[in-house]
Amino acid sequence: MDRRRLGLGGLLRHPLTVATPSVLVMLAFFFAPVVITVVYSFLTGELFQVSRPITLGNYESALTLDVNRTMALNSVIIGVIVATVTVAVGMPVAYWLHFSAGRWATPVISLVVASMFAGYLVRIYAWRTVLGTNGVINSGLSGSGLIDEPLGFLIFSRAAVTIAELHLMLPFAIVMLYAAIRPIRLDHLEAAEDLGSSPSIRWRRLILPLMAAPMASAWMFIFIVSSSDFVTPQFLGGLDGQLIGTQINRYFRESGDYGKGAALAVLMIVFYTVLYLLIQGGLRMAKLNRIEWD
Amino acid sequence: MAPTNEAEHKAFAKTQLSIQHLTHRYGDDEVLSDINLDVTEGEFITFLGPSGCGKTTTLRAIAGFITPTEGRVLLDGDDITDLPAHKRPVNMVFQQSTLFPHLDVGQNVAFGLEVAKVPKAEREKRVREALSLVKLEGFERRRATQLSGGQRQRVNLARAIVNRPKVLLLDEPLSALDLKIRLDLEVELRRVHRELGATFIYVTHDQREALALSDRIAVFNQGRIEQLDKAEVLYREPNSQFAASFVGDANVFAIDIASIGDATVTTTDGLELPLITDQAAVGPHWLVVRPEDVRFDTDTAGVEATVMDAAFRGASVTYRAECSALGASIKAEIPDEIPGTTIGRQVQVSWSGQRARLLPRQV
Repeated sequence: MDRRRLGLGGLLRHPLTVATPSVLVMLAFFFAPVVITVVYSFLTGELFQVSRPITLGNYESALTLDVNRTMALNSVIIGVIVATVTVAVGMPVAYWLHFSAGRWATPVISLVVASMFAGYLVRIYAWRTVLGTNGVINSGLSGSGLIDEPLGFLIFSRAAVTIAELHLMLPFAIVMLYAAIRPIRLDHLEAAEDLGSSPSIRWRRLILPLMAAPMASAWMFIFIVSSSDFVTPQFLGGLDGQLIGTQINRYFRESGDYGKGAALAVLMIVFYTVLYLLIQGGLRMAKLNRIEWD
Repeated sequence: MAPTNEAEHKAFAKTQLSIQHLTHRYGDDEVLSDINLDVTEGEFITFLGPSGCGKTTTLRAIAGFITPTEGRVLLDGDDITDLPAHKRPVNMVFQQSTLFPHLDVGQNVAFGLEVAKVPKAEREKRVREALSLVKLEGFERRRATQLSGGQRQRVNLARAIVNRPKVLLLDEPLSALDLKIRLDLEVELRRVHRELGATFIYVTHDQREALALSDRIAVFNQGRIEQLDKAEVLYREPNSQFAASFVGDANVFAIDIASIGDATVTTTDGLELPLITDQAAVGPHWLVVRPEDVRFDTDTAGVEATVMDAAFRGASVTYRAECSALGASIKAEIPDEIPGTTIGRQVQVSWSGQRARLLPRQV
């Protein structure tokens, strides 16, 4: 293109001009923090500062400390449970919303979205009043004479964190899967039925393959968000329900050892990236990574 | 030899699909009222009608997507009314392409065979044959997005016929395509029907398509079959005003016959109109005249009219003339332009009395 004849309007619509703001935002708020974190992870941290010498000690402690291992394991377990359950529940809900709900689809999806408007902390506190020793469940059970002592495992436990995360994440699963299922038309299902597919074959050979990529995206998104959460464990996790985010939070905000915190953060980034690449690779091998709708 | 009428038609071949007293209601809304129809093996039959007339509902009852409120569907003598769609030996081509986007052309065509657990070698052979029948040899590895609209509908056709359905159902499969592709595919559909020898049931609202494709046409109106006949019979001898005006172009005049002459009838208004028929009777009637049977300025009896419009069609010219005596606008399709027939001119309009058709009219 001839630059001199571009004019102001042409310049404003030029691909480079259009892309610049988002590139700058990504550089400033994503790329730069990641680079800083990586740099910090190789430095020695003390009292909210980092300094040389360059060291691998942060990684050594990140990988060997028992408390880190326990919390990382908690993260993986809770992340897998929450992501799997919400996607497994969200999928039939999305199917129902798209194919069967009819005029109920819009009000129901509005309610799902509206539930996300309630503050994050408010919803966590709500679970405290439900699950606590004097909470709705325990007083209900003891009032009806089913239990003598309050059930202690309901709160300040892995179970409590899992329940709260399921509640926090389910709307995301439903909204993401509902958006993704909409290109499937009723006559696609009818065509499959017409070609001899029973309902179960229709799910196996049509709906699940078409939804594999969006289901993987939703799963990955929910896994990342729920397994890295450090606020919910703080309110509901007690001693054995803490996730890896708790530990990073402690390094950065309590002990001030930026180096160790950064090393854990970098390991999380690496872990999530590898997991993402594995899932994408699997989808690509199954030729389900990119569905082109006609 | 082609059978010449309904009775002979039935005597020649066996009935494959029988629809008996089919009635369907959505709440209080009756969309099908007592549909009866016997389809002969190997026949190409078309359900023709405006939208909401019940043609698609009938087709979907045959496919198994709806269970009719009343009535039975019999296939080769077996009652399939309550059989779910996936167990019926019929296949359907939909209005919009329904190719599965995660599969390529070959996998799409093989879908029904795989579900039916047909062995791989036979599956591949039949997919090849089906694709070759729709003239898409070697397209197995293509994706739907790499095909044109017409090619996609060919693949949809191949995906249906590869299962060797007893009856192939086609739900306006060409209506989403451009005219030229539609005309090409009509020819292809007729060829595929000839080569397969299977029974085809075709739904359309396009009377031209129906006339061009079908052995017989069922004209649907308001949930009923108005007339079921061969295309020529339907065109020449429509038995209702609706059938006459829906199939082909028609001039339909409301007349009141006062007396009957040799080659004409005289209306109560004193108009003498060309008509040769053994059914003419005194009283209110519809007079149906096809535009191509209309002539201007001949010696025979006719009516005065004023030319309002002339449109050149290539092979013919279509005139529209306003006739105040009949209270109607007359459409005429005349092979050659008539010199001096300018807009506003008075003409003597006449038509072939042999070809005009008289239908009873309720008043």
